[in-house]
Amino acid sequence: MSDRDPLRDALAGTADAVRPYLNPPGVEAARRTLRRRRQVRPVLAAVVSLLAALGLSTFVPGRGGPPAVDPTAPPNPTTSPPASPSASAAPSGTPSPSVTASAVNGGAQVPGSPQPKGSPRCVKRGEVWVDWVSSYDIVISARQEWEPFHHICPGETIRVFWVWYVYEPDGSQKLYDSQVFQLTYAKPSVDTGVAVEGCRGDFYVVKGGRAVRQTIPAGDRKAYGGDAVYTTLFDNPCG
Amino acid sequence: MTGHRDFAEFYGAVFHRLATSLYVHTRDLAEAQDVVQEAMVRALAHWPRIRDDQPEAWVRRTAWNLATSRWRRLRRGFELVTRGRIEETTAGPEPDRVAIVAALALLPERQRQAVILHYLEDLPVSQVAEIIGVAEGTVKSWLHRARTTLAEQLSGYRAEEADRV
Repeated sequence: MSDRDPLRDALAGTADAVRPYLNPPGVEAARRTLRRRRQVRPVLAAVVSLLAALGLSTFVPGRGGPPAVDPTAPPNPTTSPPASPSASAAPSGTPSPSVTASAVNGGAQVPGSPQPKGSPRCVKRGEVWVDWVSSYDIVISARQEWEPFHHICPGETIRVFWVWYVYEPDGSQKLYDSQVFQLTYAKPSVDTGVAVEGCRGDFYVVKGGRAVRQTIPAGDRKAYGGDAVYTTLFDNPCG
Repeated sequence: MTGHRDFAEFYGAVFHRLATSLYVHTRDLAEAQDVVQEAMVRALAHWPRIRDDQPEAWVRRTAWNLATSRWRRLRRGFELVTRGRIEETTAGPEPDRVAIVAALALLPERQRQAVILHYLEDLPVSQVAEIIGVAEGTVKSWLHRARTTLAEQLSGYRAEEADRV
């Protein structure tokens, strides 16, 4: 019996058949797009700021927050991740690890910091989007998947944390590292990271007031329930 | 400039592979190329930062996330309706050459994604699991089920071959 896998063969044949029909826009087109976005974004940001100043921010998507930071800016703790200049979806979606969550419970108004009187009402949504996760880089922003701008109101604070676990020999998971952030109007995005050593376990980004769990029992793959806005589950690499 | 040359080389090496995968997933050549190009633009914006940290993985994840984004699908549907555009506007291979694509379309979306990433892009199960955001065991289960389904759909594809994961 042949060791050839007909499924792999069929897919490889498809790739061969598709190749002549692909017509990549090219590197120059990508550079032009990026240049255009860099030119347009400050203008758009200025328009949004002007509208906000005029009291019209209620009608502007992403109101209440500053425009997304230029994605080309060097990474720093407050920069925004690749915002979608074309208003298309940022990395995510149900099948992807990035999952937006309606933050019914996550957005919390800071006591003693009510909305300024006379200012247009900024609707607190408390939504968090995980823009990017790699081995060393985690970017979390206060916005919805499709929004090019952050959305967080003055005085609003959204508590969010990431947590990474490692496996124990019995299949349970213990806390490896975590970091808690307060997303605010002044700091609507965080860029952080961790390098996990050991038997890497599950990773969560959680929004709201939950405590960071020290351990997760074996078999529990929904450690934070609906408060987890991002989950990556790993089988025990040392098991 | 070294960075520019690096990106151009990267683009040339990666675009076709990713666009092919996304085509198999979406069955839409234009859409597949759109999402890969968008991912490339974003990669270019972050190039100094990601060039040394698995840029292909970055672009792959971004492109897949774009392709599977509910918002993008809605927007895309709206564009097709408002422009009166139909999918046949982009030339593609003859249907009999891509029968596997039609068969894959019968799979649930994440099963299809797992099949493409594993069997077309040759990514290990662990990496597929990481991209999709599920446990490795889940991916293995999906791959097995997908092979069983495909065995029923494709002639010349024997049932016992469904056990190869």
